[in-house]
Amino acid sequence: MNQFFAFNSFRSRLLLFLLALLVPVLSGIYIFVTQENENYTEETINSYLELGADVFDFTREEHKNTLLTITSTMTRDWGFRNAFGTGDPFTIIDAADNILLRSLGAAEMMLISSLDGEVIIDTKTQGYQQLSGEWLELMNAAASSQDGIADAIITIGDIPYQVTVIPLFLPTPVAWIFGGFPLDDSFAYTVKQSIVSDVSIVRYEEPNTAPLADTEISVISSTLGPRDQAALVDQLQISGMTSTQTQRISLPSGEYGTLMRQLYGAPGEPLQIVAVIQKSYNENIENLEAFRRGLVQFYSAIIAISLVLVILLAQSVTKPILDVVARVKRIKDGDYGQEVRVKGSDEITELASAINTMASGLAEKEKVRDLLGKVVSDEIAEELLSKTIALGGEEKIVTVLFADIKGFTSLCENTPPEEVLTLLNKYLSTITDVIEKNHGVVDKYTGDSVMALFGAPLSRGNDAQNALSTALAIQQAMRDLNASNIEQGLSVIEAGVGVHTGLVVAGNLGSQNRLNYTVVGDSVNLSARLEGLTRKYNVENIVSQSCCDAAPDFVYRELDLVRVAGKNEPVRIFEVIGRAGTISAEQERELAVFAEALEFYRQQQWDDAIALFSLLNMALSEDQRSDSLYSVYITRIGFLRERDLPDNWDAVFVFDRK
Amino acid sequence: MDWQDFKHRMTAVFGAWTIAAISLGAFSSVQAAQLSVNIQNLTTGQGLEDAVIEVLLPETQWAQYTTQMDSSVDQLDKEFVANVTVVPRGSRINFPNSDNILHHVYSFSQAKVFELPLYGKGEYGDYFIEFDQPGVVELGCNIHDWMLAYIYIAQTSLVAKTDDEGRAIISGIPEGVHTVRIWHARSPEPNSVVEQDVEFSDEEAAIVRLAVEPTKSNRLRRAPISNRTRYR
Repeated sequence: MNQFFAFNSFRSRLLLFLLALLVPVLSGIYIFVTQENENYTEETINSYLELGADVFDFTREEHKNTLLTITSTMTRDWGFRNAFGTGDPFTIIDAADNILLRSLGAAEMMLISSLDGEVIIDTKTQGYQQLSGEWLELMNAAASSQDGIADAIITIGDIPYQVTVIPLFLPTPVAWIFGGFPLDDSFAYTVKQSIVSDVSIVRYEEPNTAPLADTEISVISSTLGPRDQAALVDQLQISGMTSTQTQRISLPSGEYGTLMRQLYGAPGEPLQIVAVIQKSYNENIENLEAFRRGLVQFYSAIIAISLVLVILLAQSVTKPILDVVARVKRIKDGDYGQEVRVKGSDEITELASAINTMASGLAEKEKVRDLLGKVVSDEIAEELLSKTIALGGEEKIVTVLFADIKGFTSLCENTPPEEVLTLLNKYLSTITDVIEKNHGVVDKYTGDSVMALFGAPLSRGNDAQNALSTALAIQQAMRDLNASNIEQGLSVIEAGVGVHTGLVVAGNLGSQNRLNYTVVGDSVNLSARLEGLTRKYNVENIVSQSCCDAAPDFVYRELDLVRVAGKNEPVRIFEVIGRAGTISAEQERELAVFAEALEFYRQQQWDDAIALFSLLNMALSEDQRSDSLYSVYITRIGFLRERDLPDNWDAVFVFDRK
Repeated sequence: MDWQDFKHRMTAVFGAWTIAAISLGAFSSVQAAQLSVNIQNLTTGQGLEDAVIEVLLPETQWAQYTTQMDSSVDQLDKEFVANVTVVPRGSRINFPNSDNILHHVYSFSQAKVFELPLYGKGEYGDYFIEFDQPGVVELGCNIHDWMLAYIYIAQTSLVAKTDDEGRAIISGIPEGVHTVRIWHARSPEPNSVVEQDVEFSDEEAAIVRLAVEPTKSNRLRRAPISNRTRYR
């Protein structure tokens, strides 16, 4: 989990980037859109209100016209004319009531005055004798108008009435007919039906003395509920408001946009009556809320989808990267398998395929190294891999060691092939281990024979010692091997080892396509000869003089002076016995006796020599006597006695055949 | 409804009558006393038609100078003919209908309240209504609100209305100083009158010149499609 949210992980940085990008943009859009919506709502409400106020005026006008139509038409009715003609007020007022009844509520009051303002009848029975005030003003307005028609809002018992006046023609004008309807709840509801806004008729006293004093407001009629009406009275802003200024009022049933229309009272007059048109914000607020909710849901979905996509994207990037990292770690640990599988063609894919290529390159190299290690020794493999491989070589002093199974041919004849192979592998493995342990390099296997190099390709400075240690170790290993062979019922094998130190040419031999790192030269041949001589001398190893010189810390036994095939110079050959200080006293005596015997041999003092060799031979166990080094000399002396030796006999024994 | 009453009532409705000039002069004449009247409409500069001029005589002379007559106010093409009818007191008037549709003639004027409920062509041709009270009777039709006509009932026969040039002449006026009364439907004070004492002698004819500015008509507008010839 920590890794998931770790700030420095690619995924969380991508997430952070996305959020840093998305959140401000979405918030900006949200704020802008909601602001625009609120403005639009405000505008909508305001236009509703203006429209509502216009429709209110229009409705009032229509009502007025209806009123005029009613008063005009019905008062020209013959029955009414007749009634008026009687001059009897009771008859006239009944006729007027009758007209009001016929108007189906469109007209609610009627007042008839003479042309000079004397009240004839008044269905509201307000007690006027003579028209005065607003009524008289209205009459005068009609009298001075083109068609004798006028209208005004006049309060009757605190309720504003829309009043019209027309002349009564009989057939010339004989009276004024005032008709009116109240701007009451019923009117307000009628208007509300057409403008879908609430309508209230409100009266207030304009404070003359104290402009800042609270204006007394009371509701005359309203489509609002009682609680809303009370709140409206509390909150309605009167002073300074024009007929186009809207105000926002919070009533118990919701927010209301509010617009006022002057109905009664000229500016400066104490009593003012206004129509208050109110449109509820509720529907718009609900719509806005729904819109906001929708927007938030939409945004959540967008962010969620984006997050998922980003995580997927991050995974598509980090997964291959992590895979590549794991792969690189495996490669570091030497596991070149399990290729990273990356689809696509982006940079990561390129990286992965580059790593795959690199891994297969490394694997190839490792395979080559393994193979080289098996074919050649590790060191040669290293030498081959580290340097540019080229034909040619260099001259250097190298100690060459040959090891071979004595009597391998006869072993093969008497043993089943499977056992031969098992034996051979066991033997070669053992020998190889010993060689490598002593820093030797196996140059090649030839059948049962192993050629090892010390000092090539790299010299360790004590190459001859290493070679000799190897020779001794091989002898010990052969003894151990034979012990286990005897236990397993396998044949006993003996190895012969030849060691020589000398100048060789080391390098890559072969064609350009197939190279072989090896050494060539007389030294190699000599070394091989020395190994072969072990059979002649019945010893486990034969070491050349030059090798002995290079490794003085060992105890040697000089074996002979020989001239091998293909070489004119005689070679002094030795058997390495062991490291200095590891030789027992008995062994030292044996070596000293042998040296004395050899000296007798070289002085041609055959009897003394035979005596000593025989003595030495007799010291061996019975089964060893027939094929021991001493028996070789005893036989040779017997042979030499029969011959005429030249005067300058150099005691060099010649081996003509390889 | 007497004069003053009516005048008073109409005040509120129509504007004031402006008398621009009254020129009453007596000229020597060998004939019997005669009144020549010329009334000019100040607004148009033309003569004012249908103004009524009455010479008021003392009650003792009423009978001598009154000759009842029969008159007719026709209804033709949904209008009264004539617009103003002048009769001496006690005269009779019938209201024949010359239209093919019915009319309902009525008056609520105090001088004579009556009605002739819906009647058609040929009906009431010989039905005369006697107007025995002096004053102005306003005639209306209950079917056609715009139909309006006046009947001026004078005390005696010394009455006349101006022709389309604004002129009228009354002859046979006894010598002496008499009040001359002038009335017009569109007088400034509605139905008010202008009165002036004029001395009449046999030698010379009295001449009255009057320039007036009539108020607008108080007639209702005639229905625009009232001349249709089909009803469906």
